[in-house]
Amino acid sequence: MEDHREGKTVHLTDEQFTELLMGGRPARVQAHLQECAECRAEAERVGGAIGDFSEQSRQWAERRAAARVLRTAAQTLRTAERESVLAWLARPQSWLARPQSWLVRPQAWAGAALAVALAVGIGVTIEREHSRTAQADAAKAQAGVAAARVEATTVQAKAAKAQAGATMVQAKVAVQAEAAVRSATLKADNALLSAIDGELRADESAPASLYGLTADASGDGTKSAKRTSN
Amino acid sequence: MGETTLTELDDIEALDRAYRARLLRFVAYSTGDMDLAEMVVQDCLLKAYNGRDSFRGECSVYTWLAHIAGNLVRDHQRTRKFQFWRRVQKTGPNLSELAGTLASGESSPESQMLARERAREVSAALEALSENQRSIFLMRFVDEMELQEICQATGMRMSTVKTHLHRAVKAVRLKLGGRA
Repeated sequence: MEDHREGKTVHLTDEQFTELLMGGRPARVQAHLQECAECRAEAERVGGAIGDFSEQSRQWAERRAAARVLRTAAQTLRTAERESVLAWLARPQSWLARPQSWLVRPQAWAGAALAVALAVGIGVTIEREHSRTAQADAAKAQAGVAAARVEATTVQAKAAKAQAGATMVQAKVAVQAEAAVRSATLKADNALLSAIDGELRADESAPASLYGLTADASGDGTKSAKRTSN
Repeated sequence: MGETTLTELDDIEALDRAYRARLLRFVAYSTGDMDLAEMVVQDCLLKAYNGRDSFRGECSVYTWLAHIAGNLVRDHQRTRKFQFWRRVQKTGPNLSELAGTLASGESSPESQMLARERAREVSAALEALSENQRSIFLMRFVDEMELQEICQATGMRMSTVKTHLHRAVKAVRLKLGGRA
């Protein structure tokens, strides 16, 4: 209400303003708003802001509630799928005998695919384990062969050593035999030379006797020879 | 209690569909804590469903639900007295930010931006109000409850409700650049 008492403009009171915002439009308030641009502008500004706030909070709450409904629905669906797969897994003995409605359900196929993937994964793991064992065995065998080769080389080395020893003995025997032969030959040669020497000495005494020179029976022949030669 | 009300309260899913969003808005803006609001609304709906026999039909279902929600909010505020608004204002998304992120029904981008800004200012003003002023302001201007319904939901007398409402409106006006 526009009031110009004592030169001061009187505007709507707080109560009147609240009533105005709540939708109340008493005649005095309506009349004041027509006259007072300031109150009219404020009423529009505050009323509009509260309306914006109300609308935006409504949109937020509805989105949040809808999101919760979606979450709940998704959870329910997941639970149903899990129960379906578990039920199928619980009675595998008769699945071939009955017409299977689950065959047309993608969830069941997803479960089956998961099971196959798990089986393949386990199979690959076992195969890898086997392969690893075989490789270990082969390595073991290779190590055995290498050890045998080393042993054979050792034996060969021993044999070569023994052969070398034998050769040395043979050589020693040969040297000894050769030495013995050489010694025997020397002895034989010496004996022959001694025999020849003896024969030669016997031939030399005969001419002296021939010339009348006899050897003293008590004296030595040297003295007789000396006198003869004088 | 009429037949319609009986049916509504007997079906918790229908109760949830009809009132969750509205309750969520009231509790979220009363507490400033969105996660707490979800919890309170859930508790509120369960409590209403379990205690549906005590509903005498003297007020609307929503007024009754708002009464239960208000009590639950007060319980939580008592138990979390020292961390409530302080924690929300320091670390969590406050009501101003929440209002600023929402799409507006306005057509042009400029109008949407102005609407968001105005809503943010109202949110900021609400944060400075007392719990009673804020709850009553929300009941009246957001939930559009009648004063009598607010009296029933809060258990306050009409004069008390009006006083809280006037103070709340004055604070909002001041925040929006109105006269002191």
